[in-house]
Amino acid sequence: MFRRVALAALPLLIAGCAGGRLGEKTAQEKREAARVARERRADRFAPVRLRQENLKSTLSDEEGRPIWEATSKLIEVEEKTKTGRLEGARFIFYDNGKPALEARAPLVTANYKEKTVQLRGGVEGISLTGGYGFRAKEAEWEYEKKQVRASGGVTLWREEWRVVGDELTGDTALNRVRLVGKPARLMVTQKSK
Amino acid sequence: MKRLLIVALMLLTCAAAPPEKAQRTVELEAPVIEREPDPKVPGGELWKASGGVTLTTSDVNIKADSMTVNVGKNRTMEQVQAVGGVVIKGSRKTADGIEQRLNATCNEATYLMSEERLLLSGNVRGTMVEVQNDRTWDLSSDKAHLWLREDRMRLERAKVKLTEPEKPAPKQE
Repeated sequence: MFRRVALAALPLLIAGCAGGRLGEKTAQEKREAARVARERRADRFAPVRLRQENLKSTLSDEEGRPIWEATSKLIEVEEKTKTGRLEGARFIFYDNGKPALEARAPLVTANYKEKTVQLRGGVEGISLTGGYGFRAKEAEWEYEKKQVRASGGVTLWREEWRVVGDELTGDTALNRVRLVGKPARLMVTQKSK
Repeated sequence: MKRLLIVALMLLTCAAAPPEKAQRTVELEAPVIEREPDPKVPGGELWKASGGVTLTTSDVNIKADSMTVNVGKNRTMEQVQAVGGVVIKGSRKTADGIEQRLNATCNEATYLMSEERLLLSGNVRGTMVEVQNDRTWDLSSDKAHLWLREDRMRLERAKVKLTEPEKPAPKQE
Protein backbone atom coordinates (compact mmCIF):
# COMPACT_ATOMS: atom_id res chain seq x y z
CA MET A 1 0.00 0.00 0.00
CA PHE A 2 2.73 2.41 1.03
CA ARG A 3 4.68 1.45 -2.08
CA ARG A 4 1.72 2.32 -4.32
CA VAL A 5 1.23 5.68 -2.60
CA ALA A 6 4.95 6.41 -2.87
CA LEU A 7 4.99 5.49 -6.56
CA ALA A 8 2.00 7.75 -7.22
CA ALA A 9 3.47 10.62 -5.24
CA LEU A 10 6.85 10.47 -6.95
CA PRO A 11 5.75 11.83 -10.34
CA LEU A 12 3.74 14.53 -8.59
CA LEU A 13 6.77 15.49 -6.55
CA ILE A 14 8.94 15.62 -9.65
CA ALA A 15 6.33 17.65 -11.48
CA GLY A 16 6.03 19.98 -8.51
CA CYS A 17 9.78 20.50 -8.31
CA ALA A 18 10.00 21.04 -12.00
CA GLY A 19 7.12 23.46 -11.86
CA GLY A 20 8.89 25.42 -9.13
CA ARG A 21 12.10 25.63 -11.14
CA LEU A 22 10.12 26.71 -14.18
CA GLY A 23 8.53 29.56 -12.24
CA GLU A 24 11.91 30.66 -10.87
CA LYS A 25 13.45 30.68 -14.40
CA THR A 26 10.72 32.99 -15.72
CA ALA A 27 11.49 35.54 -13.04
CA GLN A 28 15.16 35.36 -13.90
CA GLU A 29 14.33 35.81 -17.56
CA LYS A 30 12.21 38.82 -16.72
CA ARG A 31 15.09 40.35 -14.78
CA GLU A 32 17.45 39.56 -17.65
CA ALA A 33 15.08 41.09 -20.20
CA ALA A 34 14.77 44.23 -18.07
CA ARG A 35 18.56 44.48 -17.83
CA VAL A 36 18.93 44.10 -21.60
CA ALA A 37 16.26 46.75 -22.21
CA ARG A 38 18.02 49.09 -19.77
CA GLU A 39 21.29 48.55 -21.56
CA ARG A 40 19.66 49.09 -24.94
CA ARG A 41 18.14 52.37 -23.74
CA ALA A 42 21.49 53.45 -22.39
CA ASP A 43 23.18 52.39 -25.62
CA ARG A 44 20.94 54.63 -27.64
CA PHE A 45 22.49 57.67 -25.98
CA ALA A 46 25.98 56.32 -25.51
CA PRO A 47 28.68 57.86 -27.72
CA VAL A 48 29.23 55.70 -30.74
CA ARG A 49 32.47 56.34 -32.54
CA LEU A 50 33.12 55.43 -36.10
CA ARG A 51 36.59 55.70 -37.45
CA GLN A 52 37.36 55.30 -41.10
CA GLU A 53 40.27 56.13 -43.33
CA ASN A 54 40.32 57.54 -46.90
CA LEU A 55 36.65 58.25 -46.79
CA LYS A 56 34.44 60.20 -49.12
CA SER A 57 31.13 61.34 -47.71
CA THR A 58 28.30 63.50 -48.94
CA LEU A 59 25.66 65.27 -46.91
CA SER A 60 22.42 66.03 -48.73
CA ASP A 61 19.29 68.01 -47.98
CA GLU A 62 15.73 66.64 -47.86
CA GLU A 63 15.43 66.93 -51.62
CA GLY A 64 18.61 64.94 -52.15
CA ARG A 65 20.68 67.92 -53.26
CA PRO A 66 24.23 67.83 -51.96
CA ILE A 67 25.13 70.21 -49.13
CA TRP A 68 28.75 69.22 -48.96
CA GLU A 69 31.06 66.56 -50.20
CA ALA A 70 34.06 65.69 -48.09
CA THR A 71 37.11 63.57 -48.70
CA SER A 72 39.64 63.04 -45.97
CA LYS A 73 42.53 60.87 -44.88
CA LEU A 74 40.80 60.10 -41.62
CA ILE A 75 37.33 60.63 -40.21
CA GLU A 76 35.96 60.01 -36.74
CA VAL A 77 32.25 60.41 -36.27
CA GLU A 78 30.66 60.80 -32.86
CA GLU A 79 27.01 59.83 -33.09
CA LYS A 80 25.97 61.53 -29.85
CA THR A 81 27.07 65.01 -30.93
CA LYS A 82 26.60 64.35 -34.66
CA THR A 83 30.07 65.63 -35.34
CA GLY A 84 32.82 64.36 -37.52
CA ARG A 85 36.48 65.11 -36.98
CA LEU A 86 38.38 64.96 -40.24
CA GLU A 87 42.07 65.10 -40.94
CA GLY A 88 43.60 66.20 -44.23
CA ALA A 89 40.19 67.14 -45.53
CA ARG A 90 38.93 68.58 -48.78
CA PHE A 91 35.40 69.91 -48.83
CA ILE A 92 33.20 71.03 -51.66
CA PHE A 93 30.38 73.23 -50.41
CA TYR A 94 27.26 73.45 -52.54
CA ASP A 95 24.92 76.37 -53.06
CA ASN A 96 21.46 75.38 -54.28
CA GLY A 97 22.82 72.04 -55.39
CA LYS A 98 25.69 73.54 -57.37
CA PRO A 99 29.36 73.34 -56.32
CA ALA A 100 30.36 76.77 -55.04
CA LEU A 101 33.48 76.56 -52.90
CA GLU A 102 36.31 74.10 -52.49
CA ALA A 103 38.21 74.28 -49.21
CA ARG A 104 41.12 72.30 -47.78
CA ALA A 105 42.42 72.18 -44.23
CA PRO A 106 44.51 69.83 -42.08
CA LEU A 107 41.84 69.69 -39.36
CA VAL A 108 38.10 69.95 -39.81
CA THR A 109 35.14 69.55 -37.48
CA ALA A 110 31.84 69.04 -39.26
CA ASN A 111 28.51 69.08 -37.45
CA TYR A 112 26.04 67.01 -39.47
CA LYS A 113 23.02 68.20 -37.48
CA GLU A 114 23.77 71.93 -37.48
CA LYS A 115 25.34 71.63 -40.94
CA THR A 116 28.36 73.70 -39.97
CA VAL A 117 32.00 73.07 -40.77
CA GLN A 118 35.00 74.46 -38.95
CA LEU A 119 38.34 74.31 -40.73
CA ARG A 120 41.61 74.84 -38.87
CA GLY A 121 45.34 74.67 -39.19
CA GLY A 122 45.71 76.79 -42.35
CA VAL A 123 42.78 76.90 -44.71
CA GLU A 124 42.81 77.31 -48.47
CA GLY A 125 39.62 77.90 -50.36
CA ILE A 126 38.71 78.63 -53.94
CA SER A 127 35.44 79.78 -55.40
CA LEU A 128 34.19 77.37 -58.04
CA THR A 129 32.18 80.06 -59.80
CA GLY A 130 33.96 83.38 -59.39
CA GLY A 131 37.62 82.47 -59.51
CA TYR A 132 38.56 84.08 -56.18
CA GLY A 133 40.57 82.13 -53.66
CA PHE A 134 41.44 82.74 -50.05
CA ARG A 135 43.93 81.67 -47.42
CA ALA A 136 43.44 82.04 -43.69
CA LYS A 137 44.38 80.44 -40.38
CA GLU A 138 40.85 79.19 -39.84
CA ALA A 139 37.43 79.34 -41.43
CA GLU A 140 33.84 78.37 -40.76
CA TRP A 141 30.99 77.57 -43.13
CA GLU A 142 27.30 77.64 -42.22
CA TYR A 143 24.66 76.04 -44.39
CA GLU A 144 21.72 77.99 -42.92
CA LYS A 145 23.36 81.36 -43.54
CA LYS A 146 25.10 80.18 -46.73
CA GLN A 147 28.08 82.03 -45.39
CA VAL A 148 31.80 81.54 -45.07
CA ARG A 149 33.86 83.31 -42.42
CA ALA A 150 37.61 83.25 -42.26
CA SER A 151 40.00 84.79 -39.78
CA GLY A 152 43.68 85.15 -39.05
CA GLY A 153 45.90 86.62 -41.73
CA VAL A 154 43.31 86.44 -44.47
CA THR A 155 44.35 86.84 -48.11
CA LEU A 156 41.77 86.98 -50.86
CA TRP A 157 43.29 86.65 -54.31
CA ARG A 158 42.60 86.40 -57.98
CA GLU A 159 45.28 86.73 -60.67
CA GLU A 160 47.22 89.93 -59.81
CA TRP A 161 44.69 90.97 -57.18
CA ARG A 162 45.46 90.56 -53.49
CA VAL A 163 43.36 91.73 -50.58
CA VAL A 164 44.69 91.15 -47.09
CA GLY A 165 42.86 91.61 -43.81
CA ASP A 166 42.10 90.11 -40.42
CA GLU A 167 38.60 88.76 -41.13
CA LEU A 168 36.64 87.78 -44.20
CA THR A 169 32.90 87.23 -44.48
CA GLY A 170 31.26 86.19 -47.70
CA ASP A 171 28.71 84.04 -49.45
CA THR A 172 29.70 80.48 -50.31
CA ALA A 173 30.85 81.31 -53.85
CA LEU A 174 32.73 84.43 -52.65
CA ASN A 175 30.70 86.62 -54.97
CA ARG A 176 30.14 89.11 -52.17
CA VAL A 177 32.92 89.46 -49.67
CA ARG A 178 33.76 91.81 -46.85
CA LEU A 179 37.24 92.14 -45.45
CA VAL A 180 37.99 93.89 -42.20
CA GLY A 181 41.47 94.84 -41.09
CA LYS A 182 43.65 97.38 -39.38
CA PRO A 183 43.65 98.34 -42.21
CA ALA A 184 42.55 95.90 -44.88
CA ARG A 185 44.72 96.35 -47.95
CA LEU A 186 43.95 95.80 -51.63
CA MET A 187 46.89 95.56 -54.03
CA VAL A 188 46.69 95.28 -57.78
CA THR A 189 49.38 95.31 -60.40
CA GLN A 190 47.99 96.07 -63.80
CA LYS A 191 49.18 97.36 -67.11
CA SER A 192 48.95 101.11 -67.48
CA LYS A 193 48.53 103.12 -70.67
CA MET B 1 73.35 79.47 -94.33
CA LYS B 2 70.84 77.78 -92.04
CA ARG B 3 72.43 79.42 -89.00
CA LEU B 4 72.19 82.81 -90.66
CA LEU B 5 68.54 82.23 -91.37
CA ILE B 6 67.86 81.23 -87.77
CA VAL B 7 69.67 84.31 -86.42
CA ALA B 8 67.79 86.54 -88.84
CA LEU B 9 64.50 84.94 -87.82
CA MET B 10 65.29 85.47 -84.15
CA LEU B 11 66.14 89.12 -84.75
CA LEU B 12 62.93 89.59 -86.71
CA THR B 13 60.90 88.00 -83.90
CA CYS B 14 62.51 90.31 -81.34
CA ALA B 15 61.84 93.35 -83.49
CA ALA B 16 58.24 92.33 -84.13
CA ALA B 17 57.43 91.75 -80.44
CA PRO B 18 55.29 94.60 -79.14
CA PRO B 19 56.89 96.73 -76.45
CA GLU B 20 55.82 95.65 -72.97
CA LYS B 21 53.33 97.95 -71.34
CA ALA B 22 54.33 99.65 -68.12
CA GLN B 23 53.06 98.02 -64.96
CA ARG B 24 51.18 100.08 -62.43
CA THR B 25 50.60 99.13 -58.84
CA VAL B 26 47.49 100.39 -57.11
CA GLU B 27 47.11 100.07 -53.38
CA LEU B 28 43.95 100.73 -51.41
CA GLU B 29 43.88 100.80 -47.62
CA ALA B 30 40.75 100.96 -45.46
CA PRO B 31 39.31 99.39 -42.30
CA VAL B 32 36.56 97.76 -44.40
CA ILE B 33 36.80 96.63 -48.03
CA GLU B 34 33.84 94.97 -49.73
CA ARG B 35 33.45 93.37 -53.12
CA GLU B 36 30.22 92.79 -55.04
CA PRO B 37 29.24 92.18 -58.65
CA ASP B 38 28.58 95.36 -60.62
CA PRO B 39 24.86 95.28 -61.46
CA LYS B 40 25.42 97.57 -64.46
CA VAL B 41 28.37 95.74 -66.04
CA PRO B 42 28.12 91.98 -66.66
CA GLY B 43 31.30 90.43 -65.32
CA GLY B 44 32.28 93.70 -63.67
CA GLU B 45 32.93 94.25 -59.99
CA LEU B 46 32.54 97.00 -57.45
CA TRP B 47 35.00 97.32 -54.60
CA LYS B 48 33.75 99.55 -51.81
CA ALA B 49 36.06 100.81 -49.12
CA SER B 50 34.96 102.78 -46.09
CA GLY B 51 36.04 104.15 -42.74
CA GLY B 52 38.87 106.40 -43.99
CA VAL B 53 40.40 105.23 -47.24
CA THR B 54 43.78 105.83 -48.90
CA LEU B 55 44.48 105.03 -52.54
CA THR B 56 48.07 105.14 -53.75
CA THR B 57 49.44 104.81 -57.27
CA SER B 58 52.73 105.95 -58.75
CA ASP B 59 51.05 109.18 -59.90
CA VAL B 60 48.57 110.08 -57.20
CA ASN B 61 47.62 109.65 -53.58
CA ILE B 62 43.96 110.13 -52.66
CA LYS B 63 42.44 110.13 -49.18
CA ALA B 64 38.69 110.17 -48.55
CA ASP B 65 35.98 108.97 -46.21
CA SER B 66 34.88 106.29 -48.67
CA MET B 67 35.74 105.07 -52.15
CA THR B 68 34.20 102.86 -54.82
CA VAL B 69 36.41 101.21 -57.40
CA ASN B 70 34.86 100.04 -60.69
CA VAL B 71 36.52 97.01 -62.21
CA GLY B 72 35.74 96.05 -65.79
CA LYS B 73 35.15 92.52 -67.02
CA ASN B 74 38.77 92.41 -68.26
CA ARG B 75 39.74 92.84 -64.58
CA THR B 76 41.29 96.28 -64.85
CA MET B 77 40.42 99.16 -62.56
CA GLU B 78 38.49 101.67 -64.61
CA GLN B 79 37.63 104.39 -62.17
CA VAL B 80 37.75 105.30 -58.52
CA GLN B 81 35.11 107.48 -56.95
CA ALA B 82 36.14 109.16 -53.71
CA VAL B 83 33.53 110.79 -51.51
CA GLY B 84 33.82 112.99 -48.41
CA GLY B 85 36.80 115.01 -47.25
CA VAL B 86 38.89 114.27 -50.31
CA VAL B 87 42.58 115.12 -50.17
CA ILE B 88 44.68 114.63 -53.30
CA LYS B 89 48.41 114.70 -53.78
CA GLY B 90 49.72 114.13 -57.25
CA SER B 91 52.54 114.89 -59.58
CA ARG B 92 53.08 115.01 -63.32
CA LYS B 93 55.70 116.09 -65.81
CA THR B 94 55.05 118.58 -68.55
CA ALA B 95 56.25 118.04 -72.11
CA ASP B 96 59.31 120.20 -71.43
CA GLY B 97 60.22 118.14 -68.37
CA ILE B 98 58.96 120.44 -65.63
CA GLU B 99 57.64 118.58 -62.61
CA GLN B 100 54.33 119.85 -61.25
CA ARG B 101 53.09 118.90 -57.80
CA LEU B 102 49.44 119.20 -56.93
CA ASN B 103 47.79 119.35 -53.53
CA ALA B 104 44.01 119.67 -53.55
CA THR B 105 40.95 119.20 -51.39
CA CYS B 106 37.36 118.78 -52.51
CA ASN B 107 34.10 117.05 -51.64
CA GLU B 108 34.17 114.43 -54.40
CA ALA B 109 36.74 113.16 -56.83
CA THR B 110 36.69 110.67 -59.68
CA TYR B 111 39.92 109.16 -60.90
CA LEU B 112 39.40 107.91 -64.46
CA MET B 113 42.27 105.46 -64.62
CA SER B 114 42.03 104.54 -68.29
CA GLU B 115 42.35 108.24 -69.19
CA GLU B 116 44.73 109.14 -66.36
CA ARG B 117 42.42 112.01 -65.51
CA LEU B 118 41.11 113.39 -62.22
CA LEU B 119 37.75 115.06 -61.96
CA LEU B 120 37.37 117.09 -58.77
CA SER B 121 34.10 118.65 -57.69
CA GLY B 122 32.56 120.48 -54.76
CA ASN B 123 34.54 123.26 -53.15
CA VAL B 124 37.81 122.51 -54.92
CA ARG B 125 40.83 124.18 -53.35
CA GLY B 126 44.34 123.47 -54.46
CA THR B 127 47.91 124.44 -55.08
CA MET B 128 50.11 123.46 -57.97
CA VAL B 129 53.83 124.02 -57.67
CA GLU B 130 56.35 123.79 -60.49
CA VAL B 131 59.34 122.33 -58.77
CA GLN B 132 62.11 123.57 -61.07
CA ASN B 133 61.07 127.23 -61.32
CA ASP B 134 59.15 127.59 -58.05
CA ARG B 135 56.00 128.90 -59.72
CA THR B 136 52.85 128.39 -57.67
CA TRP B 137 49.24 128.40 -58.75
CA ASP B 138 46.63 128.76 -56.03
CA LEU B 139 43.29 127.75 -57.38
CA SER B 140 39.71 127.40 -56.26
CA SER B 141 36.81 126.26 -58.39
CA ASP B 142 33.54 124.36 -58.51
CA LYS B 143 34.92 121.70 -60.79
CA ALA B 144 38.42 120.82 -61.96
CA HIS B 145 39.72 118.37 -64.57
CA LEU B 146 43.34 117.39 -64.25
CA TRP B 147 45.15 115.22 -66.78
CA LEU B 148 48.00 113.35 -65.11
CA ARG B 149 49.91 112.43 -68.26
CA GLU B 150 49.30 115.65 -70.19
CA ASP B 151 50.11 119.28 -69.56
CA ARG B 152 46.43 120.09 -69.36
CA MET B 153 43.91 121.30 -66.79
CA ARG B 154 40.35 122.62 -67.01
CA LEU B 155 38.70 124.62 -64.28
CA GLU B 156 35.06 125.67 -64.08
CA ARG B 157 34.03 128.78 -62.17
CA ALA B 158 37.55 129.16 -61.02
CA LYS B 159 39.83 131.64 -59.37
CA VAL B 160 43.54 131.24 -60.10
CA LYS B 161 46.44 133.13 -58.58
CA LEU B 162 49.94 132.71 -59.95
CA THR B 163 52.92 133.49 -57.78
CA GLU B 164 56.31 133.61 -59.42
CA PRO B 165 59.61 134.09 -57.67
CA GLU B 166 61.03 137.54 -58.21
CA LYS B 167 63.74 137.60 -60.82
CA PRO B 168 67.02 139.06 -59.55
CA ALA B 169 67.51 142.57 -60.82
CA PRO B 170 70.21 142.88 -63.52
CA LYS B 171 73.50 144.02 -62.15
CA GLN B 172 74.25 147.70 -62.81
CA GLU B 173 77.75 148.50 -63.90
